[in-house]
Amino acid sequence: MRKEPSTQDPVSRRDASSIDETPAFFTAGAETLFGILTRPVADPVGTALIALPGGGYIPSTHRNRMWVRLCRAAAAEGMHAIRFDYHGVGESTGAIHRYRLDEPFVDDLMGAVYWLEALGIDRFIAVGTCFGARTSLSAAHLISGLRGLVLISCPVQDFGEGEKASTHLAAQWSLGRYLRAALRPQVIKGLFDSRRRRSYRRLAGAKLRTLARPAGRNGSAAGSASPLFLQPLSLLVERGIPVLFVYGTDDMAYEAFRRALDGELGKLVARSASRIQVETVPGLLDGFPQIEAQERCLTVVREWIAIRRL
Amino acid sequence: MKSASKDRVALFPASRTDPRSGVRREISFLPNRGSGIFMCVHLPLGRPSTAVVICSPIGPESMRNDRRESRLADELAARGLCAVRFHYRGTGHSDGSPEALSIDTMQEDAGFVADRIVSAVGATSLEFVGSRLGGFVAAAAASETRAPSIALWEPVVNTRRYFREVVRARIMSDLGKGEARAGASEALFDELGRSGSIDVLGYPINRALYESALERSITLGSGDAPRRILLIQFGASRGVRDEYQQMANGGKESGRSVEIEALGTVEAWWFVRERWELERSQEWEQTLIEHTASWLAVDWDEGAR
Repeated sequence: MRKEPSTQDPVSRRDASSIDETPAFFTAGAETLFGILTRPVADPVGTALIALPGGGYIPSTHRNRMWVRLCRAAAAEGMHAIRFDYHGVGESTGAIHRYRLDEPFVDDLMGAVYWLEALGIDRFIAVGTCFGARTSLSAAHLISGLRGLVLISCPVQDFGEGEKASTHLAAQWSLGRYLRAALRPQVIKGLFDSRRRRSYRRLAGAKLRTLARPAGRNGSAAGSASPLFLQPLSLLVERGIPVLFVYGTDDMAYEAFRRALDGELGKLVARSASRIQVETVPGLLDGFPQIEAQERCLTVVREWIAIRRL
Repeated sequence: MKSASKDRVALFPASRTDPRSGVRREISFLPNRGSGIFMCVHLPLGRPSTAVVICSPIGPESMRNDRRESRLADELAARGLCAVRFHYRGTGHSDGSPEALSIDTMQEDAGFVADRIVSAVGATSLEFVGSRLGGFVAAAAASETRAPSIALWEPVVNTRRYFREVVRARIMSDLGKGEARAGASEALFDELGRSGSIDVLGYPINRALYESALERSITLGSGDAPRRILLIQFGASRGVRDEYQQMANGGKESGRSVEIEALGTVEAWWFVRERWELERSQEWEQTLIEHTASWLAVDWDEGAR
């Protein structure tokens, strides 16, 4: 794909640092959120990158300062960038009552968008990981100036905190396999341990939920993408907004994404006329437990954004 | 679009006030040797006489502890103290290269922040809180500044053992993926020596940090160490670990007041885990925060003893 030439001599381009950053509080719904705005250190292009972390009380730095690095790199491309703490996290007010992918923190993201709009910025590219990816996807239809969306390790199904593995298994394992596993001696022994019992309840509950949802009804059947994932994605396709999915090859979410391609998601991707792109990096992006995968992911995202920031 | 000037960034920190407690939170970047240190100050209503510097752990431990430290700082400010949290250079929102992070730079940053906050708020007394490797930093800074009190949350006492535990976390993760092999621990330390860095669950452990920390230990019995020490032990056991008991004994033998509390709760500091619990369900955290804050807020007069 053709790369837009930079308007600045690459020799004189410098990395952004804290001297180019403004910490700020802004309102989002009933809460006051904390964010850091990084100002461009190259000729401004009028587009802001909004970096959303995942769930689980991850602060706006993200793991190993990934969002600090991404925002400062975006600034070197002439973009404004904001990384912010969700309500109940880091320096923001509020408390989190639960994390569920079908209840993303849309108000938080829109607070950031409105704040940037008040500063005179009206074009945005949102980058989100996992819960942050679903939040940006759910809010996309509200952001009139959206120019692109990067969804990293984005789950295609809905689940709540602590249900990721059980949801994945529920889609993978047949009922027979569940029953055979339940009869294993170590599993029966585990029934006497309260923590293991809680795990078993989660696993059983996830499977029962998939059995209770026949294909085609509202709610995703096992292996297919949630309507709450497909509907906003479909709107983006209609608007012609480019979307980049980035997965680690070992991500459970990638496996679920590939299964979902056999259904409605596949049709949507085909209809998108290449506006939906999927990139993978070797290893695990879920939770970002590998530095090499982090670096590769950031490289993929930076290259994609560099083309679409104008 | 108007953009803030460099001067405005320094002079006008981001600020918000809790309408119920009156605690004001101010966030800014503090320049230190050409690098900006991210700093968050929690200010009480009225002028504080005591400033508390909170020294964080590193890596995923800092993410685990961040919210607790934030709540502790609010609790301290609600009790009339000024509390400051910060990110070491090379970590968090601060500038600086992770490769250059060392115990010495961490101590330097803690001392720098302590000096600045004392002069900014006019405090007459300094106290420190340190968690994990931050306990190391806090103890050193407290000795250097002759702070009278220090609270330590699960401090690292023996750094060699600490790094072995950290490496073990990586090995256990590799085991889960079927990638561990015999001699993995030594191989990782060899790699650290050779390449200068190893990846532990998505965080770099760099040679500068490792070498600067080796063979150092916290001693609470030396001349300038704080007179009053609170040591909080995490972990399932309610019995005090030998290393903490020895450290406490060293402090008591030299006339210090040492209080040890065993929380009886497990914290997996370095593990990336899917399951986590909502803040409101962590009652032990609330107890930890309230106890630490009330202990630090005591107007302890050495002359009265």
